[in-house]
Amino acid sequence: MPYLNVEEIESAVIALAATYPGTCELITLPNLTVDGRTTNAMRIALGAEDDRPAVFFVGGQHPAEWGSGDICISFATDLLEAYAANTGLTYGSQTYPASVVRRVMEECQTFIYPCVNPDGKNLSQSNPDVFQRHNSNGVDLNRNYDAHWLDIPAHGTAPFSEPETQNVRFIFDSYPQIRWCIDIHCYTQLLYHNWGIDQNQITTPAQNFLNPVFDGMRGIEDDGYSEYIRPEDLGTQCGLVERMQSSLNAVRGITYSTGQSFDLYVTRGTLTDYAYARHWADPSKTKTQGFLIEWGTEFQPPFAEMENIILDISSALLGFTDHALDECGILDIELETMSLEFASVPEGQTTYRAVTFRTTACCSLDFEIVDGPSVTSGPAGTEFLTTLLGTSDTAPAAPDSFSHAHLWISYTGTAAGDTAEGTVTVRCHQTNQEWDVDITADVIERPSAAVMMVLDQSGSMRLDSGIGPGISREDVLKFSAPPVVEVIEDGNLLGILQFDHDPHPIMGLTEMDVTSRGVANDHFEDYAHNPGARTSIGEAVVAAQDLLSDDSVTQDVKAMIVLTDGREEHGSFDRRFISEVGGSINSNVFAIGLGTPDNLQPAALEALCAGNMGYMMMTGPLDADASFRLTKYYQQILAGVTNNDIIVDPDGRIKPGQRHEIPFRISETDITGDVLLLSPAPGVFKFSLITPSGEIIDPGVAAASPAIDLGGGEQVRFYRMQLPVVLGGAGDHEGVWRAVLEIDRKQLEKYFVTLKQRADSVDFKDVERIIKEIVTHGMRYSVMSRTWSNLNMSASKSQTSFEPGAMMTLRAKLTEYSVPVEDRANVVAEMTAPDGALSVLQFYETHPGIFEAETDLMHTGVTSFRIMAKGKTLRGTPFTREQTLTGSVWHGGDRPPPSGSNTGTGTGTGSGLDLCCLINCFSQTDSGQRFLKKHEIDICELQKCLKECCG
Amino acid sequence: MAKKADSKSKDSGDFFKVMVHFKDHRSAREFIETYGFFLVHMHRLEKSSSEKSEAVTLEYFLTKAEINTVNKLGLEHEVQENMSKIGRLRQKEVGKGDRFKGGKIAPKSKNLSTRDDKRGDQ
Repeated sequence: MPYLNVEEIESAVIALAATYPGTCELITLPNLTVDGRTTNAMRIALGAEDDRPAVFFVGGQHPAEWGSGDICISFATDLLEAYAANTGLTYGSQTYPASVVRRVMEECQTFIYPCVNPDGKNLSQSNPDVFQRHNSNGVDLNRNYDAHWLDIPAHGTAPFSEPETQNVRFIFDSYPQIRWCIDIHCYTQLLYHNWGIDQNQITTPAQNFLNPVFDGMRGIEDDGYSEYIRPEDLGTQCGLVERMQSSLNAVRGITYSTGQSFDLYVTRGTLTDYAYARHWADPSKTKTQGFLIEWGTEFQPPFAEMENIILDISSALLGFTDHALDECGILDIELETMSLEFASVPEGQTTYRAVTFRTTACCSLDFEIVDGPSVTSGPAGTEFLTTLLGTSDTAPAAPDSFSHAHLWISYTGTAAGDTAEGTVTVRCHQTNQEWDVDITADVIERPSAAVMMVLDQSGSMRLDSGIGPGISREDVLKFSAPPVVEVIEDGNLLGILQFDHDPHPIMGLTEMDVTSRGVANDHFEDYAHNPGARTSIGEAVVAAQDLLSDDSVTQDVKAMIVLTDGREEHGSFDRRFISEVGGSINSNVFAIGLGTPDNLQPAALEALCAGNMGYMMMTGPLDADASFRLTKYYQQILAGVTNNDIIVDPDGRIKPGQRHEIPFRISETDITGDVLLLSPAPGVFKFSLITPSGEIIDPGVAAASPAIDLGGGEQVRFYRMQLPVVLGGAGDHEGVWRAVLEIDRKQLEKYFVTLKQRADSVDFKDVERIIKEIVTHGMRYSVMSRTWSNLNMSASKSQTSFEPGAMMTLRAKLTEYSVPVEDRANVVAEMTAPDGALSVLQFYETHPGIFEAETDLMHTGVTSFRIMAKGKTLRGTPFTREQTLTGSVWHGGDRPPPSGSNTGTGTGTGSGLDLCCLINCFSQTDSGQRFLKKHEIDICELQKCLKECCG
Repeated sequence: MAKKADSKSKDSGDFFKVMVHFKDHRSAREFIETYGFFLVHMHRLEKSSSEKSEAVTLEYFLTKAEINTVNKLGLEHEVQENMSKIGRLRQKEVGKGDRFKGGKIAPKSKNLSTRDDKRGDQ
């Protein structure tokens, strides 16, 4: 099937009109061509001409572009035959149902003029002068229209000097229903709209082609003149061009470029601009939106390829017409970020901020940085930089809502106290609008911390923990403390002090890095209880305070975290109690009690914490379900000390083949994001994150991204991210993130092998039990997401007494940029009573950003409160925060704590008698052993009890 | 008037693809509007915020005579393939006669859908 010659084109039009008399009207143009040819057009629609809107397709102005006529005839044939047969149309992979054909035929009128210039085309198709581009007068017809016409010979002697262009004008004048005109040309695979005169702009109506003031200024890119186009018209035109693009692309995947005609090159006197200019020059005439198609990649492709192009363009024309009937002329652009503020950027930290546009439009809008970002003031080394995402972004079409475009700028904090200013200029390509955006920045020190881990090594640490057979309190400490070392950020100081009746500094305050982490972990590995040793918490906290008070320790926060499993009990040693040293402590004090309150009698330690900006948490009796409790307490305290907030902190179990997704919300207030996976064997997990935009962060991605760290050790693995995380698109920041967990079966098998290799003959059964439990119930984990944020929650507690029946008051303070989160949050606490009973405690906002709740502590033991806040930031983004606190009561809880004048006995009687010492001594005497034997008391059982109760 | 084939050589009337380079848009526009040559496309150099360029290249189909004009103007340019040779090959693919017999036979569509009446992805 070869190209149509000019005679065939006219015959085809006549034949279609004759074959489909109810839907195709022949329009014979009034002017003969220069060489005396008659040309025909057709009106395609159901029924007689009426006021239905019309689209006008024009082909064959340029002779060498043979295929345009073939496109027109093929498309007309498709419409008429499909409508007659009540079928749809299929172009490659794109199918239009019959309903679309009916709509076009019944709601619209389609004018098609396939060959405006048959004289030139005939010459091109039959003579060596194949590439001449004019009519037989030597005039380029598509420069002969009355739209900024240029007086040179190739453009004719005057606008519409040629009979061929007069024929086109005849159709416009005869059919005022025409609201859209597409001029079909080739080549370069383009889909364009008005204007071709100059760049478009929507803000200065005076700059238009009719205004003689600007004569001589048109046609130059980026000078002072741009051609005005109404925003709603620009929205219509851009939207329809995009519709053509998508309809065309659906045929065989080819993507044509889109833009305004001026993007091709400056043109004058074209049909596309004439169509739109008619209404400007004479408002009584219908406004016709002008479009231009440049099909293909050469003027005369082999006809086999031309047939494919016919499918492409036919789909574009049908998609265009279908959607042109849906009025859409919206174009609104709002700069959301009047200035870019890099507020409180820590030294050395790189932060991204985006110039953000909110758009509502029928078409995509392209924004690009055209100047800057530049520094206008600031110290040496200050840089505002564009990012790897490039200097442009596109807001997709959103006629019914809005879209955003983001142009990212980065800034790296120089030195604390520095400030800097700059500017960046952004342009919208379609509207030619420009915005200057000011940039400001200031630099702060990243708050740093010095933390002393104060660890009980008294004899009772060897006792069973309750978590599982063979797992002692010492074991619990050994797997709970190392994650602190792994997770604490570089640059913070960490020290280790162990204590029994004496303090034993193990590791002085040391700046954390890869090496020092290893040293600290070695110390934890070497940790061992001291059999028979006593417990002097008072001496321990004084020793820790001494280390923290050293002049070399200049960190913003100084804190100690005391871990103990027993009450203060000095035996025969002359040591100080907490009550005697509390006044000398000025560091923040946090404490974790490993056990129950009647065992620990923690009143003095609670008071010490409360008086020093800290709090005490108690584990209560541990069991298998609470295996992470100590670890999580440590992590929560660490988060608070290092200015992090916890977003969520759930536990779970997962079996091979399962996939757990744990959602958590990040808001725009959050600067960093840490996601911790706590597990006895984090290596058996496939651990990844899914960002709000669907990007996946896994170890490979983390390794390739400088803004994401993957860290961890034997008990913890974590991703640490600077926000936003920029992997593509707009970058990910606020929204719902998900931590994804799966079990790596091979790694699990290796873990089992490792467990078995570690097992000796005594605890092999325990290993078998652990493996069976994992196989049956799954691997335990806890996922904690935390953030260094401008939105903070701090929770505190107070209780009226330590005796059962005490009133507990819980308080949560929420701030955003130090401003109370007022009327924007809801706070509840999940309360777990000592007997395991769960209930929910509702908080009430008693003051702006202050939420309080009260409850009675009726039962002896530890009650835990998982305090959870949900709310919205100032910009309306959802956020969550979590913190756990514990409260404890026990009989005798309000008795005076032990002091120098009231030496602890272990019985809480306050008698001044050390019963532990007395019984221990007596049981080792001959008379004591005879006494025990006589009363059938097992000496070994007694010794065991003594060690448990007395340390 | 339409250009006629030059009889001096076999290809003297042929069109060649010629890339003509201009330092900025203004000079390009002046050339476009002074000479009504067969302009196909304008190529802009890629811009970046750090390195801006106003230079453009115009893709023309020019005869040898027109190429001489470009030469005389001292414009940087490259002459590429002879497009007329390709065009003459394509002339063999132009229909002969009248397949529609003066309007007695209508063209037939090859694109009627045989699929269900469902709106396709658009």
